Amino acid sequence: MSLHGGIPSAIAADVRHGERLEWWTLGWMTSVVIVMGLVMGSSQAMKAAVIEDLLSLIPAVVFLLSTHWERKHSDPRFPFGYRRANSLAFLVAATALLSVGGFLAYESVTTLVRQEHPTVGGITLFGHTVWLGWLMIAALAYSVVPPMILGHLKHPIATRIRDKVLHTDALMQKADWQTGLAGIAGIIGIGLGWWWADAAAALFISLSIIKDAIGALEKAVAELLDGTPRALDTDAMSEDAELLTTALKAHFGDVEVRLRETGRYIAAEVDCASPSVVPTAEDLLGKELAWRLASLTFRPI
Amino acid sequence: MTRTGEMRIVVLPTTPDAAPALAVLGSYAKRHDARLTRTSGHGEHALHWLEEGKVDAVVGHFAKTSPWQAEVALSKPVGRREPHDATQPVLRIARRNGENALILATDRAIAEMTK
Repeated sequence: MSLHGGIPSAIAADVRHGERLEWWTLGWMTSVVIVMGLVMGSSQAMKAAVIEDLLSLIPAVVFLLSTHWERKHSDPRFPFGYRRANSLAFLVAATALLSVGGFLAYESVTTLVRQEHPTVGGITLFGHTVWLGWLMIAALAYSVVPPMILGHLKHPIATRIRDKVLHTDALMQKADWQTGLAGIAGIIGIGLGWWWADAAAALFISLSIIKDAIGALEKAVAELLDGTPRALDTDAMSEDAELLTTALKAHFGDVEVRLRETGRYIAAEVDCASPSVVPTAEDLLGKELAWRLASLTFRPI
Repeated sequence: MTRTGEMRIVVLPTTPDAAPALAVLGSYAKRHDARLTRTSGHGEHALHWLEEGKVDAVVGHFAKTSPWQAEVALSKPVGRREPHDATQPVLRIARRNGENALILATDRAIAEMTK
């Protein structure tokens, strides 16, 4: 690892694990899209689910791109390296999550307002005509399993490597399995004659997705505007940033400390003359979190 | 199908081979203790009535790629296999979107007939 490029050895294994999970995500979710496409018939709800599954691939793709760029070292054209690719990827992932929530809400509201009655007829397979709804339920049940498992596996890794893109992807996977379950409830509702069930369930879930997406967008914008590092799941200051501020003040007295985040790395600026002995990242954040501090600058006042 | 036990259908003019489709619908109506009532109507009007729920089914010749395929639920061809030419009109039953019980029952009956 160099000053402005590469992945610290302390988190390298976890980052590789995250990348493997994202490749699995791309494979599984592509199979989900194919299965759903085969049974969607003329159902608008199923078409919406397929579009949503396609959009849900975006965070996985941008995570893989951002780690690729993060490994690149600085060069004369990018003297500070490419670590901010992660911040940009976070903005894209948050926007994708908001698009999924917004699309789902729009589809649900228009279905309810227009009182569209979804048509789920029969399909002839091996000489028997069966209700297409059963196949849709089977496809939706399949679509629920991979995101439930993958999202569950990604969350602790995202927390350990402080990766907001991976965290947003875990949220996207939550959105995927929740909409899958809503879809199953909706198809059962259609079978019972409740045409509105599918749209009502999807609308309810879309509100939760939009709430998560807006929270992620706020943090992504804050990061790009050099805001104080935020926690993964709230807009509050991250615990690492609080710890670093406290440690810097303990070393240099009651001075002004400014922190900003580039991807998963924190840069600190302290308003005091450069000390004769500069504390190491390990002195300030401990051995486990030392990798978080990318640079420490002193600004004489 | 109305609660009064009446199933209203339109057979489009120039559908001389409507008998198998009427048999499918008649059998469905009988199973639900309803009687089949034929209403006079022409192409576009009849399909608009179907969309609005004023009639329960329209029997006529429709191509697989009919512009009405998203507005109403067109059945597979009645009494024959799907023609290779998707633009060739063949006997089908148009049903109202969302009338899933009627759609599934008629799909099953048509599949049995084609065997």
